[in-house]
Parts: sequence; C-alpha cells; structure tokens
Amino acid sequence: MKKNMKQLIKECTRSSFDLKMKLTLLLLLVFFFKTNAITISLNTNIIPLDVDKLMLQEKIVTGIVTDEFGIPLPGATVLIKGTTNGTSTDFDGKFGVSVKEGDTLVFSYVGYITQEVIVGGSSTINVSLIIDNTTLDEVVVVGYGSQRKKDIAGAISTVKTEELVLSSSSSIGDVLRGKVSGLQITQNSAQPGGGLDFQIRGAGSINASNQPLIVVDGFPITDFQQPGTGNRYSGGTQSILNSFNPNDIESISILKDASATSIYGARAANGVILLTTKKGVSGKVQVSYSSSYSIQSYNDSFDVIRSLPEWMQLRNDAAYENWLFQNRVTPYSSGNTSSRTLEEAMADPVGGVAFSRFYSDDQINNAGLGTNWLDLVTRDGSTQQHNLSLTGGTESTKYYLSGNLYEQDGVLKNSTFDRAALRFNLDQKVSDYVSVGMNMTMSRINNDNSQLGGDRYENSGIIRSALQYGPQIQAIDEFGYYPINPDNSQEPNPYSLLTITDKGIIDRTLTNFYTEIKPLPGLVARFQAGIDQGYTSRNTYLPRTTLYGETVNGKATIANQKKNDNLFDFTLNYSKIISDDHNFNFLVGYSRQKYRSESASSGNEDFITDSFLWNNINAGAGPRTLASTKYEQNIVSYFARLNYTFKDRYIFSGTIRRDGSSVFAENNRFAVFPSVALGWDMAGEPFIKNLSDNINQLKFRVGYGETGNADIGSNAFAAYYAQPAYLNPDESILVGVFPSRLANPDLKWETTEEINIGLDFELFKGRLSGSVEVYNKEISDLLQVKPINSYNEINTVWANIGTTQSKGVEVTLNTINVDTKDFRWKSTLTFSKFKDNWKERAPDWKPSIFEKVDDPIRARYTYLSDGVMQIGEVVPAQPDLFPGQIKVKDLNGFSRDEFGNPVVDDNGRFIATGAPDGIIDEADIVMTGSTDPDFIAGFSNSISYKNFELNFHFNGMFGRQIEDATDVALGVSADGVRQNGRNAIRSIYNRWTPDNPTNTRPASHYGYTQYSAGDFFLQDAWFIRLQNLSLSYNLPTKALGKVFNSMAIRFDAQNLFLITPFKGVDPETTGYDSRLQDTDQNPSNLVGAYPNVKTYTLGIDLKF
Amino acid sequence: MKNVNFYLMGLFVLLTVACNPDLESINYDEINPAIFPASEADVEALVVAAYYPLRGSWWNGIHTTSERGIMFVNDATTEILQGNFGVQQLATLTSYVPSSEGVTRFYDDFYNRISSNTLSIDRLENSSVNENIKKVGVAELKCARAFLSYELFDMYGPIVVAPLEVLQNPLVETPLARLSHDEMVNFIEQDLLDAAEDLPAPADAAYGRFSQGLARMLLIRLYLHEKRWADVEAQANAIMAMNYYELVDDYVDMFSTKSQVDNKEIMFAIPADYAATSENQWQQMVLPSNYPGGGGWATIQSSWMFYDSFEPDDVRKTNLIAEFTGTDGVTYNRSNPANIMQMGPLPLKIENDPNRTTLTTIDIILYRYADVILSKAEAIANKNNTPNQEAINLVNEIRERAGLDPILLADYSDIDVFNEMILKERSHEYWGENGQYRSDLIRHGKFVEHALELNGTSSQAAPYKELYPFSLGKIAEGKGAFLQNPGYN
Repeated sequence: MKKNMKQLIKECTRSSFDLKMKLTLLLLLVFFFKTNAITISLNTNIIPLDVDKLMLQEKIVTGIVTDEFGIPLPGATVLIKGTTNGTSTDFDGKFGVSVKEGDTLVFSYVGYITQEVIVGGSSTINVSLIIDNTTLDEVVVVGYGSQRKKDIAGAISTVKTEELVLSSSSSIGDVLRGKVSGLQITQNSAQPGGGLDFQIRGAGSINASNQPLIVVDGFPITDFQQPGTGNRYSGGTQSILNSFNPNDIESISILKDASATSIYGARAANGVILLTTKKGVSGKVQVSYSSSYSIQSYNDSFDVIRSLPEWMQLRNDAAYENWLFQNRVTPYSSGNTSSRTLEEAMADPVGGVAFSRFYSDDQINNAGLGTNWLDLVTRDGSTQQHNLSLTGGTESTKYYLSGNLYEQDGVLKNSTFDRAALRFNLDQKVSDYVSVGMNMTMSRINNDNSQLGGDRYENSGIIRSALQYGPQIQAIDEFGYYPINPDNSQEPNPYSLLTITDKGIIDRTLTNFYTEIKPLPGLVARFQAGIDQGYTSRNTYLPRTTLYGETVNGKATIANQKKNDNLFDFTLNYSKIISDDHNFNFLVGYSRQKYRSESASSGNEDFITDSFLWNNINAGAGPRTLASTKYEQNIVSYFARLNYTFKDRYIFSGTIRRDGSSVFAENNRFAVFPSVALGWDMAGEPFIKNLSDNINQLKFRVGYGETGNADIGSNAFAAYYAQPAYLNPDESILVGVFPSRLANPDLKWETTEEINIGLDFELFKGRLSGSVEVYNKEISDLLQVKPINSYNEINTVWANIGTTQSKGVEVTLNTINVDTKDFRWKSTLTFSKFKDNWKERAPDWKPSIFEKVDDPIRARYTYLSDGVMQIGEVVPAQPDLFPGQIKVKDLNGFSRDEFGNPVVDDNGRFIATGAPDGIIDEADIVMTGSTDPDFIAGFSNSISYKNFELNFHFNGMFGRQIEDATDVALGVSADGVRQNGRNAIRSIYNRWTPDNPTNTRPASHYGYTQYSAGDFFLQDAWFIRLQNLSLSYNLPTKALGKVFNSMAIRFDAQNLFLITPFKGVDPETTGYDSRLQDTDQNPSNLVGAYPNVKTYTLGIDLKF
Repeated sequence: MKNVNFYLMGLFVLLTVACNPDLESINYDEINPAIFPASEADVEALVVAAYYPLRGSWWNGIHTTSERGIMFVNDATTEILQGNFGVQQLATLTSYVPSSEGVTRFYDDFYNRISSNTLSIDRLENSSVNENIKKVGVAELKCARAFLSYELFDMYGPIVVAPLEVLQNPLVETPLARLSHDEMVNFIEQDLLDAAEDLPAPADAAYGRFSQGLARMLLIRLYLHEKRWADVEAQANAIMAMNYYELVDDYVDMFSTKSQVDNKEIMFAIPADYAATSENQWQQMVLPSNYPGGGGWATIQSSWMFYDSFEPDDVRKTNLIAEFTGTDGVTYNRSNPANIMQMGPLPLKIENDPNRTTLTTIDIILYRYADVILSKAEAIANKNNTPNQEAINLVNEIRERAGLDPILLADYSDIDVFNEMILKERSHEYWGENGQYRSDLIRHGKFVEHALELNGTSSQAAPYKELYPFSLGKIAEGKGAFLQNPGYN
C-alpha cells in the first residue's frame, strides 16, 4: 500500500511539471529567436530610417562605445541630435549610423554622462563614457506615469534591482528588507517562500489591513494564498510577491507620503509599492542566463534535552517537587494556607497518594539514548534556480521574454517550494501615432506544506511536536507503527506527521494590454486593460499512520479558490514646455476594477485504503464536509494630476482622485482625495551656484495629501447565512439561517491626511546624497469592527471609530566612499522611526480602566512583575501566592462606592484611585509602551575592486521586546514533563526550586495561580542581522572567448549572523503571529516557529 | 487628428457617466434579509437556528460535554466532578474570580442568543407565513429563549435581557442593567407558559425538539429554584397527565450507543453525530490515555466521597469506573491511582463508544421523566414541610429502577432528613447529565457545606460563590448600570 501511495505522489508531481515543459519550449524558442533576431537587428543598424536623408550626402560612421575602463557598452544609444534617428550599440559596443557631416551624435547610456560628438571628416568615432554619480536625471516610475527624479515633490524612494542581490530569494520582498527608509518588511515565517508583512510608515490603521497597495506594471494586485483546509494543520504563510519572478523586475518605487500616493486614492492609505518589469530594448538580442544553488544547513537552534537519562532524572525531580507543592510541605505556604512538615504530609498525603518516582536508578542508568525528534524531522535545505531571459527588438518591436525555475527544499522535511514562471513583455509601435503592447506573466507555485501552525496540544505543528515529544518514545517500532506517548495519548507522534501529504498550488496569470495614441504633440491617450487570474488549491491527506488519520481511518480534504480581477484604465496625458522655463504635465484618468472570488472545499474520511489520498474522495464513508463561497466587488475611480516646474527648480504637483467602492451604502460610496506638493531646488538658484559648485541638489519639499481605505473584507450591508445547525432524530442535518452581518448605512471611507516635509540633497558631485523626511499623518474615521453592546444578536459592526496619529522621520544617506579606477565603495544607510498613537476614540468606546484615549495603537498592557516570591516572603496583595510563583505589583485600584461596586465617571468610565489598594485586579495593569520597534535601520555596501564585487547588507530593528514563546511553553515549568512525559528545553534547569531560589525563573507550579505573570517573560529583542553578503567575480573579457559576452561567478550568504540579546531562536520570525491582529497576539501560538537558518549560495551569470 | 481628440474626450465623458450604476457588492453565498423569512422552510430554518447555541459544541454550544459546557463546570462545583487544573479546578476549589474566563464566558458567549430569539420571534410574527406554522415556530423560539435564560439565571442570578426596541437599534449605545429577580422569573415563566400552550405534545414532537413536556419540565426547574412547591407539583401533575412519559427499565442502557429515539423517559436530548454538527465528547474528556480501547485527555475525575455515597447495588454507578487495567497492563484503582484517579473514579456515565475515541454519537440527555418524579416528591414534602407516603412512593419508584430497596416513611419523616435523602438521590440519578445538582444543593443551603466537606481548607467556598461572577468586560460595558454579583468586587 505504501508503494502505491508513493507512486501516486510521484504522478501528482509529474502533472505539475506542465509549466516546466512550457519553459523548456521557451528555451528552445529563445535560441531560435536569438539567431533570427541578430540578423534583424544588424540590418536595422545599417539601413538608415529616413529615406530623404539618404538622398543627401550621407556617410556611414562606425565606432565603438566603451566605459572609462575600455569595456564595451552594449545597448548604448547613439542619436543624431535634434532627430529621433539613430541606433544602439551591439554586444561589442559597436555601432554604425548614417550621418551628414556637421551633425552632432549624442551618446547616452543609463548611469553614464551623456556625450556629444560633432561628426567631422573621420568615419570612425570611438567614445568612452564616464560614470554618472549623480542620480538627478534618473526617471522614476510614479502612479500612472513616470517623472524625472529631480521634478518630484512627494516622498518617493526607488530601488533598482540591479543594485539588489537576488541570490536565493524567492520573492523581491525578501531583498528589500532594510533597503528603503520607511518601508518595514518583516518576515513572519522562515519557511520556503514564507510570508512577509509590509508596512510603509508604520501602521496607523487599526483593522487588519495595513498592507500597502502593490501595483505591478500598473495593475494593483491583491493577495492570493493557499486556502485553508479542514485537516488541522496550517500551511504557514506565503509572500504575496512569490508569484512574480524577482529577476523580471526592473525597478521598484515606494510611494510613501499622501502627496505621492493620493493618485491611488482609496487604497493608498498604507502607501504604494510600484513594481515595473523589464522591457525590451532595440538592438542586438541579449540573452542572459543565471543559475544558483544554495544550501541551508540546519543548525540546531532549539536546545531541547537530548539525553534520555537526564530527562528521566528531570521527570523524577519534577514529580517530587510537585508532590511537595501539592501537599503544601514547607516551604509551600501562602497568605491563605499554612504548610506542613514532610513527616505530616507523608502520614496523610493529599488524596492518600504517597510519593513515588517515575523511574528507578536502575532504569535511569540503563536507559538508552532516547529519540531525537528534531533530527528526524529536519534536514539540510537547498535551493536551486535557473533564470533565462531574452531582450531585444527593432525600432518598432521590442520584447522581453524570460523564464524562471526555482526550487527550494526547506530545512523541515516535507516543506518544499517550487516555482516556474514565464514572462513576456512586448511593445509594438504601429505607427507614429499608435503603439500597443502587453505584459504577461504566468507562474505556478507548487508547495509541499509541512504541518505548521500555532495550535497546541493535539493540533501542534510538526516543529512544536518535535520539541515537546518526550525522548522516551520510539520514533517508529519494529512493526512500522508510530508509537504514541501513553501519558499524552492525544498528541501525535511527530515522526508520523511526515507521512501526511499536503500539497498546495498557486497559479497566477497577470496580463496587461495597452494602447497608446498620440493624436497631438505632447498628448498621449492610453488605454490599459488587465486581468489577474488566479487559481489556488490545497489538498491534504491524513493517513492511518498518524494518530488522527487512524481514529477516522484516513481523512482527505480538497480546497480551492479562484480569483478573477479585472482592470480597465484610461488616461490622457498632456505635456507642454513653454519657453523652456515652464514645464507642464497634465493627466486625467478613469479606472475601474472588479474583484471576483470563488472558493470550494470538500472533505471526507473513513477510507478503505490510504492509497487514494484525496483523489477518490467519494470512496470515504464520511462524515463528509462541503463548503463554497463567492463574492464580487467593484471600484470606480476618476483622477487628475498637474505637474508644473518652473526653471527646473520650482515644482508644483497637485492630484485629485474620486473613488467609488461598492462596499458602502449608496450615499457614502464616493470620496474625493486631493493632494498638493511644492518643491524648491535651491541648488538651481544662482546664489547657491555662486557659493559652491559642490551642491548639486538641495531640494526642499512640502506635501499634503489625503488618501483612503475601504478594506473591510466584506461590505456594509446586512446579511444572513445558512449552515448546518442541528440534527434530525436520524442524525440527518437541519440547516439554520443566522444573521451574520449588521448593516451600517453610515459607514464611510477611512481618510488619511498627511503632511510631509522633505529635503533631498546631493553634494560633491554625487559623492554624498540622500534625503530626510518628516511626516505627520492623521487617520480619521478609522474603520474597525467595533464591539457594540454585547447583548445584541450580532455584537460587532464595521464602524468608523476614531482617529489615530502617526509621526515619523526617515533618513536615507548614500555615499560614495571611494571612487577610483579600480576600487569603488558605495554605501547606503536607511533609518526610519515612527510613533503611532490614538488621538480620538468612538463616543461609545468602552475602555478598560487601564486604557487611555491617546495610548499607542499597539500598546502593551501588562501587570508589572515583581520577581519570584521567595521562601518566607509575605505578599499582602496576593494572599494565595506560593513561593516560586511570580509576584506582580500592586499599583492602583478601582474607586468604589459603599457597596464595593466600582464607580464610573460621566462617560461611564472607571476611576482609578491612583494608589495601591492591597488587591491585584485590572486596575493594576499598566501601559508600558508600544509593541512597535523604536526604529529600524539598514546599511548596504557595495565594494568593487577590479573584477571583484562585494555587496553586504545589514538590517535591524531596535527597541522592541517580545516573549520567547518556546521558552515560556517548554522551558519554564517542568509540569508537562511530569504529567505528560513531554520534553523540555534546557532552560528548565534554571527553574525555581527550594534549593535554587532564583529570582529570574519561576517554579514549575507558577501557573497554578489566578494571577498573571505580567511582563515577567519579556525580553529585549533588538537585532542586527547580516541579511546578505555577496561576492562576485566578473571574468575578464579576454577569458570569455566568442560565445559569452560576460560571465560572473557569485558567492552569496544570507542570514550569516545576528547580533541580539534575545535568547530565543530568532527575534524576527518568532516575533509574532501574522495571522492574528496585533491585539490578539497569544504568545503560546508562537512556539516552535520555523527556524531561520543560514543560506550559502553559489551562482553564475552569463550573458551571450 | 482633431477628430481623434474629440472622440477621446467624448469617450472619457461617456465612461465617467456610464460606469457607475453597477457599482455593487455581491456575496453570492448569503441571504438578503429583505426577503426572509417568507416560506415554511424559512421558518423552519429560523427556528432550527435557535437550537444551535443549545447543542453540544466546544466552540459555541452551551451543552457541550467539554470544559466549555455548563454540565462540566456546574457538576465540578459539587462532589460529582473534580479537576486538578483549568476551569474544573477553579470550580472544585470554588476559587473563581471575575477574571476567570472559564466561568464568566457562559454569560458572555451566550446571553445575546436570548436577543436572537427575541428578534427571531419578531421576524416570524411580522412575516406573511401561515398563522399555524407561525404559532408553533414562536412557541419553539420562546422555549429556546426561556431555556437559555433559565440556565444563565441559575448560574449568575438575574441577567440583562434586552427589549425588542433596543435590539432594533443596535447602533445606538444603550447600557442596560440586569433585570430584578422578579422580572427575571416572570420573563422566563411567561415564555414557558406560552410555549407549553403552543408546542406539540410529546407524542407529536420530533426527538431532539421541544415539546409541551419540556416546557413544563423547565417550569419545574424554575419553580424549584424559587421554591414555589405548589407550582412544581402542578406542573409535575400536568406532565403526568399527558400519559406519555414513563421510566425505562434499564438505566445504564439509556446512556449506551443504542438509539434512544423511542425512549419515553427522555424529555429532551440533544442529538450528536460524528460530523460534529452537534457533538458529545464526554469520553474524550474523562478517559485517561491508557484506557483500554481508546484513551482521552483525563481532564476530570469524580470524587471518592461521591462514589462512597452510593449503596453497593446501585446500578447508577456502573459507569463510575473505580478500577481498570490500562493498556500498560497496570491495574489502577483507589490504592494505585497514579495521576489518573487521585481524586476519584472516572465519571464515564456513557458507554465507551467502540467506534470512535474522539466524538461519540451518544446523544446528550438533558431532561428525563425521572426528574419529574423526584421533583414532585420534593415539592409535596416541602409544600407542607412534612414528607408523606406519596412522596416516599415517588422516591421508591426511582430507587426500584436503580435496583435498590425501598425506603420507609418512618425513616424520613423529618423534612431535613428527607431533603438530605432527596439531594443524594438526585445526585445519584442525574450526575453528569445537565449539571443541575449544584442548583439542588444551593436550594437546600448545602452548597458551601458540601464544598468544605470535600476539599477542606483548600476550598474557597463561601455563600456568595453560589452565583458565578460576571466578567470585567461586562461591568465596563454597563457603564455603571450593570452591577457585579456581591462579593466579587
């Protein structure tokens, strides 16, 4: 039977290779194209475009364009000044162009200073271009268009992918961490393809969605994850960007302040990330191939007890401690209970039970090694990827074609991530007035999910299970059964969890078509239509080899989800330059989007064989489960923008957008979001120019804007739903109808108003540049599910519930530290800090006594712990506390009336006495600050020496505290060891006992009290991580021969080291559970997070 | 070229105007409240929803046999059940406080279902459905409302019952006070009297659904709570006059995996299935890991005090497991209790389902005719403060079925002695069923006494703990109008 199953699995995976087949075809195509395209492009280089000119005295000038070190620059543009005629260089930097004598040739290349050469008598012109350290002429993608960086007045950061080390990352999000000030990316799971949380300028919204809008080539995309299943285990989280091959991305713009984002109106409240993919360039076809292989060596970061004799001794000790405690043997007395002597207790033990040890000395001495569960479920991970792209085109047709294969085996057995992605970008000029084009990307992700998830006990994921399963249990017995811990019969054998099959698929096809019409000089009309289609499924099977599979004779689930998002955009853009000084750009647009989503799932159990998996779901005897959903939403928008620059140094930009969303009631559907920004580049002023020529830019910016948020998951209308509710006498199902949502006809957009003041500077010819931003953001009419009076049938409703305020500072500093012919060293430092606070609450806000109106949004409310109660100590406010338990501070109390009922003020809020009252109650909880980090920072370096290049990047979060959930669950109390024969981590040996009266760790019985542990377990968790380090070597041209144009070999390392005071496994990935809102965080759900390990990558880049 | 420009502008204007009307959100899997309820099937769906919070479900059914059900917690405050961790320990040691979510959550999670019923009654009455169908539907909804109200009243004292006008304006904040004692009793009583009128007779009601019999049984519970002995007797007589209910011969068999659909002793049981539409997980709660034939979580034990209170031949302690040989070959009993039986025997009550170790399809029996008999006995003895032969005869009916010898009036002619006896009899008869023994002890002023006898100085029992506390959230939400039970401030 087992063989059958394996066979089936194999076949399953085989069918998923479909896309790979396509990719192989693509490879063949590429080579076919390449050979053909070369001929095409050579022709265009030589044949002049304008026939009239040919009639005149023309001659052909040829030459070679190189960089300052003599290395040829392929794809450099050569234009005849004042015309659009010209060509670009081939792979050897060579060009040929037909000119008249006296023409001026303009040579330009991205990142180099443009040079002009007047054509003289010679028919050969060789040019060497010099690197441009200034970035002022850089063009930046902004909403619905692009702008010169120097003309921008909003807070926009850009990243070029050529500056990133893509290495073994599965998505572009991974490598952006710490690269951009104001953008905080937190990896919430270290699993392959694991989820990332993006936050631009903090998180001022208090509902679940603080994620920025992500726009890929003009298409705002929505998150699409594997569906949940009914089979107990979570597949973990996945990054929204996994479906997009990071190698296809040309640049990333991060729009941060409202003046930059308000062109995206309703969905821009949390910032916008614009991803632009690579386009074809005319000229000789360029083929590049890169490949890398990474290993992730599993380092055993969980310090569990591995020696069986040691564990047996611990269990004996814990049992004795517990018996003494339960029998209240001295020193275990509390304010309410006195203790007894050992003799008294032995004479009359509680429940008549005398103490007995679990294991004799003999058993302990003869114990074997015990099972090392972690070793059984982990392995060394690996990643390999292949990436092939083809760029080329003629004057009229330009294309970019790429394929990517990415395969990662995670350090947990069973966890793999496998992606195949295709991209095709095409730009076609139909006539001088009309051009059309498309971007298409298609990807399939296959996931083998390991059993993750924060649940406890019988639903523990594989890591938690492996941590807590006792070493006394065999992994597998001689009959092939997976033994269960007899003291804990509901928790499955961790090794058996590897027999679970759990496969997920995410297919996504994003296609954009556009037509551009240029009816008049300066006027561009653009139509864009796009479809984002997704299909995702997750199928699971729990076989009989697992505890739960056995109780139900196998359980299969199938779940899938489809989405179909449509976009239609229409924009009119008019630009005009009047008398060289006045530069106008005017844009109006219309956009509509439709979101449709459908899901279905089914499940069955009680199968005659495990070999079907989920492929014959009808063959189970049940109970069966079925479910399906469908919804549709619409957004309509109108927008306009005016950019005006005067004398290149006075900048005005204004936008307005009107959005309508179907989720609100009729009269609140539409909202208008305006913005305005002003900029002044002082460097352009004559008085500065006279002062010093070392100031290239000194641009002050101030912007104000409004953006919105309408993300309420569903809509604001009342609804009923139907579901199985009760049973007939024969146990057939009765379906009931329940109200599920209250209408809120007054519900409206959440509005963000933001003021941003910024300074961009560039000094010493680009040696030092950067920007500083200061902002103040107020979010009003906050959308949140508000609790209303709890007696209501539905006692929560989406409502506008108040105002929050965020303030922050962001600094980006770029330096060129060394710039010589052979040695260059550039650095970038980013720093961001924000503070999110409440400003105003709903009138019917029902605060607890410790909550204040202006608390931080993610406030930490806690009792203050006061160490561990020691022997003989008296704790007046906690009369039922025993030695070894955690004390909390009595700080405050409720004001009470003569009957002892707490009194309230006019607003119905409780009044604190402000002084200790001898009782520990809610009044003693205090707000200790925010759970947000104080600041985050990144530090990137790029050093090149001759043909070597070294990149390394640090990122860090500072001023944060978290609990080490794994330690709290498995390293503090030995009760689980005693009671359930669980394992523990070695910090258990530091626990309080009468013989070890420590003040830093409580006793095993610390939880046997009505009092909270307060902030006892919080630890400092700032960290600095060497995110990646990459060393590459470009082979000298001579060594390459004819076949390759360039070749580089790379060695990368990720997550090489971490500096942190945090004692747990990883202060980032074990920090919080992204599935929950911050306020719902339950540390016990974070035990055994997916380990974040070091990755080493060897890679090669080839260009043909 | 100008033409093109013109067309473009025209197109833009067209788009701007034309594209708004279908700005709509549609959830295809929901029902629009405007068109519901309209048919007989809609009425049934609305009424069935009222059973939902009453069923067995760890998540949201108040009669779940887990630690989140009222039987578990209420019986754990008495000698019937004991626990050494979690909410069961709080109950056992009577150490619950307002922050003990395990005991406050029954109110927090379920009291708004009373409002659901109020609104459903209104929806039904305002619908255009046939009047007869309406009448029965309203009766079922009222019975559901009273059922839940009584159970919460019994645990917490008078509670908040929101009037319809308030419920129809949910977005207006209206802090409400708890009802007064009399208002509370009248509210429950009136619903039950109405329901007893319009519900089907027991013979006509489907198994698992409310009947006139249940409505009157709940009235008996309410009147017992209020010590309105004459009203108890009247309702018991009314039920007996239905000539439908009877004691079955085999007590133990009632709790087996056999179908009880035709059992005429059962007045109300909640059907349970393996698919967890409504679930019974008692065996999983009780059995230890090493129990032969499938283990559980061993969350709860009985007490040796309770076990010892049974007479040796009493069939009703059959499933109070005092000795078993585990899968490890070790025999566990009172003298070798290990972790499993330190406090008492295993209160299995139901048959260990051979088909499943997790959920069982054994239905959750909440009310049986035996209760009518014992309640009537108690009522007629207490009405005159003197036990009589009729009362003794009624008790003997129950004892006989349990395989015990009859008792004599001569031994129980003193009302206090009689009440001691009736309390013991009730605990033996109904342990592990609906958790009402706590209420029985409180009625006779024995709650604190029993707790102290059982757990000595560890017990924090006090008269004010006869009612559970409300959570702090409810106090905060009440904005001064909602008062905590005395003693918990």
